[in-house]
Amino acid sequence: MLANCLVLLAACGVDQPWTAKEAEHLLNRAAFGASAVEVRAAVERGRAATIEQLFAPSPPQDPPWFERVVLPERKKLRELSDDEFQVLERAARETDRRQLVELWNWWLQRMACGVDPLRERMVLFWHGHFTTSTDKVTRSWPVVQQHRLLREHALGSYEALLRGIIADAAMLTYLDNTNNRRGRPNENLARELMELFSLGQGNYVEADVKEAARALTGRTTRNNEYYFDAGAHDAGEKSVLGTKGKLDGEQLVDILLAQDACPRWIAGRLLTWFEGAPPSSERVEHYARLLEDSGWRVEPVLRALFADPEFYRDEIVGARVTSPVDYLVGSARRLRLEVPSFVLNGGAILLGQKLGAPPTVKGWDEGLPWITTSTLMQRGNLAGLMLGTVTLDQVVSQADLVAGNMARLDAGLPAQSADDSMGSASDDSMAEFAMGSSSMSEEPMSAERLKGLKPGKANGAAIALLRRLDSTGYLPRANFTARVRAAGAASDAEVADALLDDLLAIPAPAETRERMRLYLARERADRDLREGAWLEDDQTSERILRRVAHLILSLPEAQLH
Amino acid sequence: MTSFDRRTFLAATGALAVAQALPARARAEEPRAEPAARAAGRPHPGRALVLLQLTGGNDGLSMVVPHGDDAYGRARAATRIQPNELLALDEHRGLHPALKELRGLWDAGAMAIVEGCGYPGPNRSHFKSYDIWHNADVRGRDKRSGWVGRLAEQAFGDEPSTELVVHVGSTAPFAVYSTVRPPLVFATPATYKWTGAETSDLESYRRAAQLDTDRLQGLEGKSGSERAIVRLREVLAEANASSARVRLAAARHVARAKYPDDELGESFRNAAALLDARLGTRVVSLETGGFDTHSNQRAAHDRLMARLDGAIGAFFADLKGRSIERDVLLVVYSEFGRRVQENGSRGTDHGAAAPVLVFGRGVRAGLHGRHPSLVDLEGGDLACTTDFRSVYASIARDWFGTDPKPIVGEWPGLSLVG
Repeated sequence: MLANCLVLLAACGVDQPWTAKEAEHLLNRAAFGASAVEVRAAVERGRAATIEQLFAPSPPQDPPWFERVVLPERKKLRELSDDEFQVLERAARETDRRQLVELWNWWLQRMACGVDPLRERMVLFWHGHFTTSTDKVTRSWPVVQQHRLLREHALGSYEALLRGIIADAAMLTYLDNTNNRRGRPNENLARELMELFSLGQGNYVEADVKEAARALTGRTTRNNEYYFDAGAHDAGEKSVLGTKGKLDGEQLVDILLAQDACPRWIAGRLLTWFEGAPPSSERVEHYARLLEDSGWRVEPVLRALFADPEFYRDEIVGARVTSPVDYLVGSARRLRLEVPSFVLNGGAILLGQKLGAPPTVKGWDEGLPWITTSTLMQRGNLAGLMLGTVTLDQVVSQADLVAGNMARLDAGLPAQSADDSMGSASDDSMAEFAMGSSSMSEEPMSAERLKGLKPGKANGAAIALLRRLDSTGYLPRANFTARVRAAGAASDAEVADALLDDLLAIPAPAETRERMRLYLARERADRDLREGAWLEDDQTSERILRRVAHLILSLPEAQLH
Repeated sequence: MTSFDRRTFLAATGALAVAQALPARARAEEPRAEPAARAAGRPHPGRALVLLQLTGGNDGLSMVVPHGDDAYGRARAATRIQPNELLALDEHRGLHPALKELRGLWDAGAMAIVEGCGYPGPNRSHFKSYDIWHNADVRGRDKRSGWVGRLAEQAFGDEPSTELVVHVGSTAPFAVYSTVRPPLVFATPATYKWTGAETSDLESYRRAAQLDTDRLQGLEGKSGSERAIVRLREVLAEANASSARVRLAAARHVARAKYPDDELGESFRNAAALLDARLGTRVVSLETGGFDTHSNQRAAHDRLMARLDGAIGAFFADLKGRSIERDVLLVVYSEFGRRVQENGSRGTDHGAAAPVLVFGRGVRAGLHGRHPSLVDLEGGDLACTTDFRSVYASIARDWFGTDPKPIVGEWPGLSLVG
């Protein structure tokens, strides 16, 4: 009751600002971002109504159907030769592999196009909290079942998830609980259950882990589903965190939930997830109480958080580096493009986030760790791929040439054949090149030079993604000309602002606006186009605006939300 | 105080990655000189490791063939390599016939073979076994960096090179995972760049990294968003510079050998170019697959051996005479070997121990470890006579001059450097 009053008061937001800044921030963090139009609508609707919409029940949708793939058993197929059996087994494993890809593709589609983004974001949270990895759990059925568990309770009860996860075939396999037997305990699940899934380090001792492992014995799998093997269960007296008894898994969960550390750990994880910064102990305490008082239901906690003025503080608004999934899904949404799921999935893998397979049981390291020199550039490349400004022809023709010669041309150095000595490039041009200043040669490659260059292999996953996209006949269906015109933009500055406001999740810095304005002015000048009037014919303007969009999404600012 | 550990806080603010993501701007302007000799206790200047993973479980018995052992002939039929085909190393062992270049490296004293390499309680699952090799722990992956990540953090943690650890390929193995010194990942230098629709866009992209002067004056008082933008612009500036350095390294490198025209050959050529340019790269990670030869092994494995030989041979021929030649150590491993006994499909199934190959001018050439018996098997597989962590320890201790204990534990007794 008290919690509900607090929520109500907070939701009134009497003295809290509700401008585009707050609205966009909420939609960035609780959903996957919003276009400028959607942000304006949210501002008009008001904070309470926008929050309400995030939690509104979504229209009924069929859950995806997945086949329960059964591996052929050698014992039962004795009449087959080894070769024939291998063919069957390989086919079953291939079906498993493809179904897993389908699962992630389906989920990414929901993130990018679904009307329930908060739920999808919470599934992503739980997916990185109760981690398993398809590197180890290669069978699709248990992974699908786990995903269904996370979906069902994503905005529901943490308790239900905790109880469900110790009866989850994928988790039991991943953390070796299938090897956890009476007399031969395996502590892996017990340890991660306490350290990562419920209490956090420092809130239990080694003896608790050992005893908890005993409580979890017998929980194993059979035919890729949860199975309790009573014969393997250690039914003896145990003591975990001060509670004694013939504890089993359910009772272990009771004990974990009763610890003060539990709601604090989960509340802290939720705050860190949505805010992208470590929360103060006071706020952790407040939300921990809320979580516990609401019976472990996550929804009241989130409602309170989204109405909390601290959630909109300067330290965190626009300050978090998007995860690969966030970047790709968010960009697709902002671009309003129907990007094939395999691009989102394959792109996320390229950027270091393989759904279903976080690097360790701790999940993914969020924030700035996502960004390296290679992933930063690849984000921009993937945006270009979505926009059609990076095409297969262009990239393959670049990569098909001996890489070195292309780089030499970029650097303003003459192309080299294999016989040339190394002396032609001066150290000056190398230093200049290394400093990043432009000394690019505009010299086109002569036909003679082209003949002398040997083709190499254009390979790698990025190229493969491009090839596949090209083979689907993908055409980005966007009309940026119409979009900026609908926003009432005419001058270069207005056009630049319209695109920046739409495509960035954060307000564009002044110098960036100026740069984009200059870019547009130059492109128009090169083609003798009149400011404003050039937008009436989208044949010339569209290509330019797509390049601007590509550039915008490659900027440092575009990696933040 | 909540039970958050410091790492959680740091990870959430990205502060852990600051060391890597905040390159000294001055670095781009420094001449590319080799680091001066360091004081005792510092990792050896200039030395690098090339780590090649043969993915799928390479049949070690078909690579380093124990022709002198009768048990070999009894166990292998369709997959058997006849004594007269082999490139004999001694009266007991010989190399696969396709490994001519490797034989040359052996004769030149630039090759070592660590026999029977594995770990106790072998796991025949690809993924579990990779995890073990990548994390240097028989329990598999845990919550830390991979072993090469730990090596980089410890030994080269304060070396400024952006190109410190590079995986040439599409997906880096967990071995190089680190958020403090993350690997650069690219398939070819040509793809390690931002691709604009037109060349003028590239210039716009480069300019996006430029910082306004007033932002350079301290970060206090700025919003979280502004501070993040500043940090990312510095990464962008470094990305442009690094991309240019790497592509120019590829440009300046005139190969002195003919690399095979396949992915592995291309990867090795890029590795040679990267190392020769002395950008400060300490580890190049490579990977090649197709080794899971459950059926009709002979033809497939022969091709794999030829591919391996061509690439490695070209690599060392290319490095020959260059100063980097003595600073490169190549280690070739697989997540497990294969069963001694051939299966019913003219192939072999997942096994356990297998030889690890080590190449380089600085290697202590010849045989290391003990040849595992083909008769006294463990569960039908070759017993491990040298733990793979000894190999890692020797790389850390003897090649790089750093303490192996925090990285892989105590594994004395093997020295691959000499």
